[in-house]
Amino acid sequence: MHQGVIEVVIAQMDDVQSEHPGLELVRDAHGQFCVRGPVGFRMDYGGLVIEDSYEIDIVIPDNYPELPPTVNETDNAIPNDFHRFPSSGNLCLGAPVEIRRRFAEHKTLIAFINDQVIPYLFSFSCVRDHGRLPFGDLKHGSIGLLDYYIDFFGTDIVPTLKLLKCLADNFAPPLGPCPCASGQQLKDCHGPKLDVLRPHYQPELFEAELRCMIELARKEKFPLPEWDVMPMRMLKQKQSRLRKQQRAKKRNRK
Amino acid sequence: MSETLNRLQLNQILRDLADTLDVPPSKYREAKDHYKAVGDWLGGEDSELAAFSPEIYVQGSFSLGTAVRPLSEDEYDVDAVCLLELTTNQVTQLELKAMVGRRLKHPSSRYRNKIEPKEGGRRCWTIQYADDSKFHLDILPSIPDHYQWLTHLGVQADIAEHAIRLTDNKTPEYQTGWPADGQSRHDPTRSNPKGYTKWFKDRMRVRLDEAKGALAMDRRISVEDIEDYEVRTPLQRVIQILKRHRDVRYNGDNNKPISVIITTLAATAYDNEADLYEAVLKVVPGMRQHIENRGGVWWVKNPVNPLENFADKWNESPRKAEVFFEWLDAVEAEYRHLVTDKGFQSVGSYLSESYGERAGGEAMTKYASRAAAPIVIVPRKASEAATPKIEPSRSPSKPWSC
Repeated sequence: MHQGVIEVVIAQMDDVQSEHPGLELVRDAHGQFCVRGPVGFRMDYGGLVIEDSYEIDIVIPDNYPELPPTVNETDNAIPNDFHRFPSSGNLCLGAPVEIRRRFAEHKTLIAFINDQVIPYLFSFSCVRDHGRLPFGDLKHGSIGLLDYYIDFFGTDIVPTLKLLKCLADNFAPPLGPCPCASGQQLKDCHGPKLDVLRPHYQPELFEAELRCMIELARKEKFPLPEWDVMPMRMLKQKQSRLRKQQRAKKRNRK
Repeated sequence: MSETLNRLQLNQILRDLADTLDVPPSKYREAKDHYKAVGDWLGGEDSELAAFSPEIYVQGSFSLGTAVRPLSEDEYDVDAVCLLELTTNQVTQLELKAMVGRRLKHPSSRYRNKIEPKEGGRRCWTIQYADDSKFHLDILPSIPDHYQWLTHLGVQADIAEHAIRLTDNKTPEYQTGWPADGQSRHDPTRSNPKGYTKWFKDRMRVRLDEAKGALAMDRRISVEDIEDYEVRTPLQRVIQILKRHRDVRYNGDNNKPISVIITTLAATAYDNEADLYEAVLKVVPGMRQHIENRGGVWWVKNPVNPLENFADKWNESPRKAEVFFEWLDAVEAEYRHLVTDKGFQSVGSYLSESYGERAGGEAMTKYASRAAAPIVIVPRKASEAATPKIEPSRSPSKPWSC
């Protein structure tokens, strides 16, 4: 880990420990920095007041604070079927691009803990004690991600996918028509929303998410105008496959 | 911290990494037992193939000692050649393939229900072992090739004499015979796995003999009793490390570097270096230098068959060439960075990212158990959790799971 990163983390620990004095910064056998220990909160939302604490482990990535940390709950208080990554057990705080976007607002550990980790823990406490989710949640997998984007863009499935394609292809001409078919130019319609998401996620990552959603639509037999929503690389692969098939047909006829 | 110190530690860490990626000698023994048993069945007394003295031997990564553990729960893929004493005048490709298939699917054959797919593959019959050894064995029916065409092209006789003809059901001549002789293009039914293995082992001869000698001394037996697959040279370890790096970096990408090109170039560039770190930094630039471009055509020649170009697919899809060079650049840059103090500090996360969690983790665990225990940088200030009042922001994220 870069010396500069270590210094940033140590400096940020001051604020962390003034609100959560039980947290410590350790360096494990793999050379990875982690913030571990009990984190407590008292939160009041929609008439629900909950006071609780959990044992957490926040892992600092090598390119911190360009990318947010990951967090895990280490006391088995939260079951695996509540929004956790299956392989690592890391807590799934939200849609990946959303986590990065929120983190980028302050890029500090204390903001990460208070604005992202604690609301998640509060959610779980609510479900456990009162049987309901205070902020809602996203469904599992690509369909949950799609719902996130639909909500974010405020439009339907097909325009949402077309907007995602703009991000996947990194091609969103501001003076062109907005893919949501409002008739307005992109810059006056959904362009600003694209601008909000674009800095936090590489085009390849948007492309990967879009591909999964298209696969899901195919599986569910949901009709999509594929040529308008498929990312550029997928279109090229489809074209080259079709060309191969045509060549093969010609050969077989011979 | 100095480069020299980092280098020493890296040699050990890379060795540990290669060990976690390695397929142990016990699996090689198991594979050998499997294909020898198939060979015994094919050459059995009442077999229609017995008259042609079938010989069976392994090819590919299990022959070269470069097999890596599969990334996920995939199986071990073992290729074996089944050589029959026949000529191209006596049998067509189809007949040769069918003969071997008939014997494998014979009513009293223990393999008859294990052949998958039932009609065979492009070049081989695949036996799917149902037990938990996680193997599948590809049997490639073949016949010897008359090899003068190779010696005329300058290949040594002791390598050329192992040249064989394989069946390939995508060739137009599959049903009626074999591709004609005397062509200037590479014939996909011609191969020389034994010759290639011999060439490969010669490239690392010094280290191979050294390793076998050391093992023989340890076990107090004669070096003749040590099998090649019981030891690993730095060349084999470098190839294993490169293959796994490729697997993780290009998982699912059709343009990923192919193993035969990686193996051939690495073996060509290897000069019997003893240290792993040094070997990587010599081999990777060397690999780049040995990729030829003959007037716009990418060429990676098969060292035992000058007509064969392992990189022919690069000319159909130029992206494959791009990816290969991009990959070599990445490996070289990563390794140069690794020996600096900054790079070395994050060797743990580098290994996990580039070689997989399990391999990286295990290598670092071994290293850490030799080095210091985890260091706590900042001590706790209290042992009980405080419960500060937290204001939820305008609309917190909705939890998700992938």
